[in-house]
Amino acid sequence: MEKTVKLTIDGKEVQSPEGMNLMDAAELAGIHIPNLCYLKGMKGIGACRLCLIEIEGLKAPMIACNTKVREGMVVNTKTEKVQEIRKFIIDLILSMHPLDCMTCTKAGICNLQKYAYEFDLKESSFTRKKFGYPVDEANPFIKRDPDYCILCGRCVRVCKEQGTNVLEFMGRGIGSKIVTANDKPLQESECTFCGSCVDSCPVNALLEADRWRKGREWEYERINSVCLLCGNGCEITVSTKDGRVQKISSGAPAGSAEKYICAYGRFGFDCIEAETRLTSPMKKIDGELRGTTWEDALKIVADELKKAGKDAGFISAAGILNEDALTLKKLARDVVKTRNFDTTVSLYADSDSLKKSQRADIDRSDLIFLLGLNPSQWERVLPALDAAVRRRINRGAKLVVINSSETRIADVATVSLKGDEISNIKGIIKVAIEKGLKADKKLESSVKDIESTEEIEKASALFIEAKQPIIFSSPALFEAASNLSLLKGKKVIAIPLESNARGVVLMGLTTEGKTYREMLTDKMKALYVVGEVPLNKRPDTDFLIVQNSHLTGLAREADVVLPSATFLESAGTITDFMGRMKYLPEVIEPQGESKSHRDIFILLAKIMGSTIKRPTEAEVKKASNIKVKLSPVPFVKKEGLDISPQEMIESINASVINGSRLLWLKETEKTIAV
Amino acid sequence: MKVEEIDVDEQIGEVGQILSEAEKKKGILIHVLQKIQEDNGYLPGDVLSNLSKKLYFPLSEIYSVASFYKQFHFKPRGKKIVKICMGTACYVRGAKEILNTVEERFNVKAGETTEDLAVTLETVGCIGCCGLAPVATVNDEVKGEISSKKLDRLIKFIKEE
Amino acid sequence: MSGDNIKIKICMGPGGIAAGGNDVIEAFKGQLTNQRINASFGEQCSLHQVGCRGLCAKDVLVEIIIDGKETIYENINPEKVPRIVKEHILGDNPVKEWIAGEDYDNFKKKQIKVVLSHCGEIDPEDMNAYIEAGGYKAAHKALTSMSPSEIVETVKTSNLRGRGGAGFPTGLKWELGLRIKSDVKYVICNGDEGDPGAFMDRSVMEGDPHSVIEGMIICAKATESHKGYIYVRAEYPLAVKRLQQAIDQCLQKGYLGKNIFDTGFDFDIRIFQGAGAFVCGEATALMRSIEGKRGMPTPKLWRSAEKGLWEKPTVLNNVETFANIPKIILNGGDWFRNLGTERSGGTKVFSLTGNIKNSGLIEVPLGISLREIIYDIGGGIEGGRSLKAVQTGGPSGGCIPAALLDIEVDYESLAKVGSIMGSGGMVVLDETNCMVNTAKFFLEFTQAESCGKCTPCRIGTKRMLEILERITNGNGKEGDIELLEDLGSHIRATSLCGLGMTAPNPVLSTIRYFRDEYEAHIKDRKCPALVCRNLITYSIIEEECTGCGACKRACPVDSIRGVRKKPHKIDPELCVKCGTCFDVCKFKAILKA
Repeated sequence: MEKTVKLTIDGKEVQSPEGMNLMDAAELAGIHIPNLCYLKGMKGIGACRLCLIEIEGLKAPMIACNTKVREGMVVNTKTEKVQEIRKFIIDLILSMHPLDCMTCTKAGICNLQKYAYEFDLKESSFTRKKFGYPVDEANPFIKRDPDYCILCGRCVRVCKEQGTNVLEFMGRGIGSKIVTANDKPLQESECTFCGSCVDSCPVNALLEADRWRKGREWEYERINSVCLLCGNGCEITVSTKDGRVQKISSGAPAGSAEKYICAYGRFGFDCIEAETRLTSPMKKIDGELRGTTWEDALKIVADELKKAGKDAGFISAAGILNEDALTLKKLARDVVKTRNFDTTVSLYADSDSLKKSQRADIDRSDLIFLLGLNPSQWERVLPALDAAVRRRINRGAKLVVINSSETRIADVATVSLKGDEISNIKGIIKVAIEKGLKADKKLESSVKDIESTEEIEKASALFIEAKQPIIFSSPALFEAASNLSLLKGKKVIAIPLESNARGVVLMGLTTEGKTYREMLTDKMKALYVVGEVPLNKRPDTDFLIVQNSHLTGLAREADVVLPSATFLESAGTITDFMGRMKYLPEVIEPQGESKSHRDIFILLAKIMGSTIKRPTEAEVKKASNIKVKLSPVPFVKKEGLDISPQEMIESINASVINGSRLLWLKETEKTIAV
Repeated sequence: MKVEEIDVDEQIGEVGQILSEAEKKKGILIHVLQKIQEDNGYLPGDVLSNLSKKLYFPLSEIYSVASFYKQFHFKPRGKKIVKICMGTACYVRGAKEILNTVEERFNVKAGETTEDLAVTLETVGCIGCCGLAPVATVNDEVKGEISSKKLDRLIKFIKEE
Repeated sequence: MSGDNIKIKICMGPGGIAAGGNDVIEAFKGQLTNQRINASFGEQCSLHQVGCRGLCAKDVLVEIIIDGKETIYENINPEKVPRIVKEHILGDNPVKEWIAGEDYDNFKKKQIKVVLSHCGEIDPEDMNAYIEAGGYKAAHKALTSMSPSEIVETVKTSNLRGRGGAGFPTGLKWELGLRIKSDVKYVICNGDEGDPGAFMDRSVMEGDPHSVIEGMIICAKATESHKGYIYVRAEYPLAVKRLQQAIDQCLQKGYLGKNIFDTGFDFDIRIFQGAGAFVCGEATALMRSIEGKRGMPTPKLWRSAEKGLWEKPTVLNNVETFANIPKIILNGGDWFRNLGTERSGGTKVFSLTGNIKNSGLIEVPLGISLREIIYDIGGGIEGGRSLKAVQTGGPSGGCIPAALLDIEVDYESLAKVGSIMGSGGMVVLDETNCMVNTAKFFLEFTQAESCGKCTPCRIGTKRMLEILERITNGNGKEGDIELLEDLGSHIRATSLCGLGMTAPNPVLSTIRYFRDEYEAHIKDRKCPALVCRNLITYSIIEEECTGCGACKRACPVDSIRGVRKKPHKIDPELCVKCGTCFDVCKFKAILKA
């Protein structure tokens, strides 16, 4: 239980956790203190001076962002003096800022605009001045217009804290500017176009490049959802207008820097309306795909599936929703009556590790292990994990990287252990037991032969010291990781490559017959591929059905193509890698005639003479509700799960990348890499 | 100083030994930048990139820190800093011509430095010696009344070692 | 040759060097060799470079001591050296007309030298000279026979207040530093002196580096710290060199490093060279700079004594503060306290500059009147002009008008009249100085040195400067003075650090005392001191003009018309007000108004 203190803000008695700053404490009490440079979750820097408030007993006003609550404090946030100060500050900022609010894209969510209104300032009372800095719009994602910049430094702090380190202050005084290293365009810097800076910018200095005349902020409907493009499953906020997605931002409240999403999640939505988007079913006639009706397409599929029976195979991506997975399993097992249904999860994880994965709050951990993982914002492999780890390190946590291959994140690690991962983990456990951590006898004896090194000792010492260690592991190394976690904390988490990997496993979409790989080589009588899988060539099969949102290379070689909705067009749930159920609403309607996966399965079953009921939330919850208990297990690195994460993630997102601005990124990064 | 050979512990000195590795690397930054500038006369981009890799220190931050302090330059500075006064008095007395001639002779534009780092050419507002117009300064030494004859002398003076 | 022991001391402070001190040394060396003095007297005749003696206006100052008899020469250049050597050293007959006169005596009379006691007396590069002059006795005493709290008590008794400007009681700062427990604590000496025209700290670091180090050792003992930094701006290469030399000498002698004076006490000092940013004189910015960051001040959630450099407890004092410490330890807190006023003990060093006869470096007891400083020590205003104001505290300070000349110089009374003690800059302004222009000069400085972090300082000072620019350019508007006052008071109230909070001071204090001058600029479009170029008009007094044509030839913009031997005329449309005609006219026929 956290300690609380009692104080008075604007005559209101407020209880706030000890150590909280006045800004947040006031917010808790429903009192907004104006600010431009404050970012929730980060240390106040006192740059904008807008949050000056008065504390009884103190002569000079204090900044709320960097003053902690104290018992009995009496705070006044709206005295005449502070109102005058705030007006003065806004007046000064306005003297450097364009006054084109009528056409400004940020109008409506611009904090400066809000405060100018609040303090009755139509324009600055000082001579106005603009620098006329050039605009950086050489990329299709982020437009930087320094003339709007108020130098609050939020973007710099966000970029730095998540470890991307692209934006920085340059120069000083009135000539300060926020730029990349040596003032290069973004694409020539280390920028990954995650757009965190855009979310953090309180004005129009940083915005999405495609926003001009795409609707005003107040016309947007904002819907919270989840990005399903990789294993992270990040929360997003989708802004829509007239049934179209206009922008996606990270799913954190405005003015907070807590959440990260990557360029895929933020800018990949153009693919919804890409040329390759499937809007009607297709069938192959004389070697060529032609459009057809749902009725026709489903009839053909139903016939083929019936014909194939137990020799039919279903393979699915793990980026589908829980409800889709449940329905698919019913279709395969109960209607088609085959035991061959599997997902892409089997390429990189075993179901056990995903099921046993624990819950933990990375923002509370003081020591992070990355075991066999190579997250990278720059390679876009689990970029949000990379950002979260780096942010945590910047706030004082330690990092131990254990990987037999080179990783970039090891640059910021306190200890980096190369070489065989299993022996390194065993070493850490052995040293930790020797130094006094209690362990199961079995575990103790299984590590006794291992030789320790200086680096292992260091890692072990960190582990012993740590109060809240958290272990992120690749699924292949989960057993070893879980053994380590038994010594302390039991916070061990396997990180899959797809968003609903744990969900599809829990929903039972794990094969009872042939595996994913076997179905590709064993000449199935009919092969039904759901979602985007890492396959470009038609596997050897008599009949290929591809159900996807886009016309992929594989779909081109299919006999029947069924158009499915994207994750923004379909409602349901996923279960992320920590077992948290996340809800996705139908943000927009499916394009053309495309339908959600589950609707297609239900229709198909109906044609085949069976009824599958729509899965209910209770059904999903029941399937998710499993009891796991960690206990010592043999140390093994599981074989056959070593698919390249980067290739995997790129290929399951091929349609998103090729059907959106992200293609520019891929091509630009290639040229720069050369 | 070779960036690749920097010994962080040596640079931070006895007083910094208790710092963490990251603090040490940060702590030597300004000192190292001073050394790089001492060796090169400015902070060359490639050296800064190497420094960034050597110290695992973001390049953006190196530029940011360096740009805060007046001492550091990102562009080479010439041995001779030539400033041509463009104040009204000098202007009406032919400062523009002087500027053009100097630009031609040294193949350099105002605000830039010659490739051999001999000359940096700049223009300035009135320096308060209108009686001597047109004037220029060479490493802060004022050269006044630059007639066409004196212009040759000025150019010779700039060329001198 | 008259005596057995001859000492030649040449002033090599910043002023001495600027006046050609090196050449004078070389000239003496040459003469001593030529005249075979070296050969015949050997070590009995010695040549010493010494730190600043103060009276920079009369540099190069040379002192010749023969058998203890001291003679000071002023304004010495290399050409004068042979005669001095021949007549004084060899002939025992001092060169009377070059001996420092009344000014020098007056200059010295009211000064009390504590911090500067060694400056101008000992060779700063010679550690033995420092030790012979009593150096390191205080450190020895502190380390061998005093407890940290005894040291703190002594400093508290002395009433010494921080000489960097804010005047925080040093003893209290140390007490807090001692009370906070930590495995690592830092002592930092702030030598980032950056006020334009101020060179107090520079003179001490260059002229008596060991006193600073000794002060730091004592502070380290008092606060149980073992690590020290001296932050010196890179623009002071000689100070860096001398301090480094002094540190090396101390390490060699065991006065720094491990087990100092065999007491088991360890203390190390490292010099950190600033890279050119005035704001780094601010404590938090200075610490960020040592940490390798941009020198941006950070809000003081914690006092430095609790969380300073690298988040460790840190005691930071200015150069002059540290240089006072050894004397306080040796002579006792009461001795120091009694030198000053009730609320501020001791002496303060000022650099006295501007339109004053005896400009230079002075050290006076706190509580002395401004009048004594200007007239008794400084010798009054040059050229019989009248005093207008004294600017103290540099860009953070204010102007004190002539009418308030009898105020006592200490922290409180200066603050009361709208100025500050500051680090010790003292600029004397007379009737030829425009107060608006002076305010603009200081604001230009702070505005350019603003780090840019907080809004009021970054944008506010720029806006103030723009207003001052338009006033001095003759485009001032009704209401500008009020706007300046408004801006100034808000910037003062809302800025993040001391630089911003004090930036408006020069403007606010000149408005307070010289509002009429501002009004003259705005309403009458006139600069009473005839300084602001755009507000001056040049015209030719017909009766005086002989029509010689000198002005016509000299005018850079051909704005003067007229035929020979007839009065000329200036075309005000073309005139760029450069004043060349005024300078060349031999008949005083040009009217500047």
